[in-house]
Amino acid sequence: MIRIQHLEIAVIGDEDLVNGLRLAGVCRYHIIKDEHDTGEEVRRALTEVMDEPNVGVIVILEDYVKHVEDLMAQVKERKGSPPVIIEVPSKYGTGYGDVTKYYKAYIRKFIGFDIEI
Amino acid sequence: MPQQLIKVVRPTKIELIKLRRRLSLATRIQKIIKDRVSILILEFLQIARQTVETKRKLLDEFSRTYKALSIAAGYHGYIALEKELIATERHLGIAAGLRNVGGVRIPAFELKEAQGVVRGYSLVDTSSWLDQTAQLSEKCLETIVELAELQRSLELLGREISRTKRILNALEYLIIPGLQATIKYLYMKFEERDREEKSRLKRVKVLLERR
Repeated sequence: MIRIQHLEIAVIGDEDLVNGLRLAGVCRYHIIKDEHDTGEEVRRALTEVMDEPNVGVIVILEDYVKHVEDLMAQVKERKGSPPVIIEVPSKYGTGYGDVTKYYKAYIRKFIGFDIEI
Repeated sequence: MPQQLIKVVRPTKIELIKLRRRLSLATRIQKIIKDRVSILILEFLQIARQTVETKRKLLDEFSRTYKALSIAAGYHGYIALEKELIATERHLGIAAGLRNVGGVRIPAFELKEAQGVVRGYSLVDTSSWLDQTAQLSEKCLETIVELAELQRSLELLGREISRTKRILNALEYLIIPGLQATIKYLYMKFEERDREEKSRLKRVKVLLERR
């Protein structure tokens, strides 16, 4: 039997990202204002969101990931079906140069050899 | 490296039969697990390829959306935009199910439109820029959900692969050679006992003849 859950999408980002996704209909969002202490605020927002059982996908701005790496690892280790954290680029473009390289390293970690994607 | 012998209580035929049974079972399991690993790896690679593609698509779509959004924001001004945005918020959800791949449960997400395709903002007050932006950002959201599913699957499959590989290695390099070595050891023990028996008989025969 397939159990179907209904989950929500939460967004943590700057004003532009949140505005863009609100236009698509997202209603759970945390706007991080730049003038405050960004790291602290992102942490607070993520902790709040990741403990909620009905949040399935967390969209977070790439630039904020460096503040919350430990929290993200913690989420990944959870049992059951934890929320999936998706990093999206800011309006200044992405910080990761090549997507393929990132995933290649990831695959290497599990399979043990390089594979052309 | 000498193979580790498996501890046997006493060298008897019963033990030998038991060991042989264990060996055949172990080889059978090894075969099954090997198949499983190759299935998992196949699936893993397929998902990895899809993930890379989706991630690229996401980056592309986001850059377009940001462009469109900045035009829309410039055209309407932030305050007017904010007013429209409040109206567009709706109860957006994802339907999450589970999919079974090679014994691993991986999630399957699908974006659920709560109110059809009608957007909440007023069409009279807004321009086509906003329409375009909304369209693009909806696409972004779809891609995000797709990527979420793929990324999670990749993680789960990766973890399962390394777990299964560990079991496979233990079987291949530790358990099966150990069993084989122990069986060989038992055979040698039996032969030794046979020889002892024979020499004892001969000795007894000589003693009897001397009388």
